[in-house]
Amino acid sequence: MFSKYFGNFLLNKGIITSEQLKEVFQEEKNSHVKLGILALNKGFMTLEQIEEVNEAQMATDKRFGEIAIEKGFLTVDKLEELLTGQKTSYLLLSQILLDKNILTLEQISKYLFNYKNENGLSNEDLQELTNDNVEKIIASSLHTPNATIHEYITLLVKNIERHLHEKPYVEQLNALPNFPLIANQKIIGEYNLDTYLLLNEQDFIKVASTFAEEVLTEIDELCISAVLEFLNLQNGIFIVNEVDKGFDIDLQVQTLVDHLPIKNELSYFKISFADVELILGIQKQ
Amino acid sequence: MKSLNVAICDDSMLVRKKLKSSLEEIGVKVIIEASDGFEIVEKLKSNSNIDVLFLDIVMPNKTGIEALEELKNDERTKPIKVVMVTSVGTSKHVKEAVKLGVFDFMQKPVDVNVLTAILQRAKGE
Repeated sequence: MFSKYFGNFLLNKGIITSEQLKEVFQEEKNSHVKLGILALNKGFMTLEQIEEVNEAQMATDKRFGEIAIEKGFLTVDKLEELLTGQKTSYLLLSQILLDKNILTLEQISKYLFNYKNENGLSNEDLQELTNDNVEKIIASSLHTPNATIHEYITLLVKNIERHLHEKPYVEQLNALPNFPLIANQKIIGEYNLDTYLLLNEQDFIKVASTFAEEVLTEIDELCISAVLEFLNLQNGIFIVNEVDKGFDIDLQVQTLVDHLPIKNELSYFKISFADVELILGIQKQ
Repeated sequence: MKSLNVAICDDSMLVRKKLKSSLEEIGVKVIIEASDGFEIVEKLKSNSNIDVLFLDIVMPNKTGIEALEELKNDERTKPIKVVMVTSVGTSKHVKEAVKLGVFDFMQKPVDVNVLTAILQRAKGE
């Protein structure tokens, strides 16, 4: 996931072109090996066990390795061996940039040093980022003052990875582009969290199709229910985590709305993945 | 597993569709479908031969917990085994549902193995 951030940093600095970046990401996507496949390949887990973990992963905020250990399919040592074998996205990005003669090793290392300095990161922070630690990546790239919103976005990124099978790039927006379709769900109780997913029609259908695991071609009831259910799933897991921390909150029904509230203090985040632009609008009261 | 009469209630068309196809996959036919708590209570009161109801929690008009309470307070619908299907399994919901006599819980997205195990238990196997 860090490759998205470092790649966009290189793009914004004019070091690589958007075509090169797109090509690199495509290559990265093709070569990313999932932990389950590595486990199967090494004979550490059976296909049935991998499927069981994948299914369990759909409903919780846990990583593949965590669940596999809980279920007794992997030992900590074996998991570590697998994780070492799984190249991080940063390593893959570097390798692809080198292989394609876009940058030299010296240049990559220089720009990574610049990235670290511009974002005020320590060597330890950078290590965590290059190891694709989602919490750290979100914390270092977004400067939201609110911890709840931070956690919400981190969970959303994980859910996009799990259910839409893409590694997203998140950036804060100052001006809101015009998006016609708005899914909304409110979390109410000890604090209120108002959440909106804004999409254009084409991206709405893409998100719905991927989540529903079937080809949808128009914005009908099934398509709408798929996007709303994705939001509901995100918020459902979010409130379970928050209730576990002792917050007394609950969910309201998810719905499609015509417009954003006229008076609002929403923060907007653009979440990009696979040609989809999803805007998250969120406010805590 | 052909002898069970099953009803499903969820406001999401996608969830209803997925649940229905998972049930059909294991040979169970859905007799009643509803999209909110109000609708399912009305439908079940006039159809007493349902064995198992898969019920969402967060729904418009009447929540799953409110529907469960109403079903358990009516002699006609009291014997129905209610399985809460939800992405919101907070301890508060679990406690409320258990107090009202829920049969089981199932997390979204639906897992066919879990579904099968619950239905076997409902049949007393």
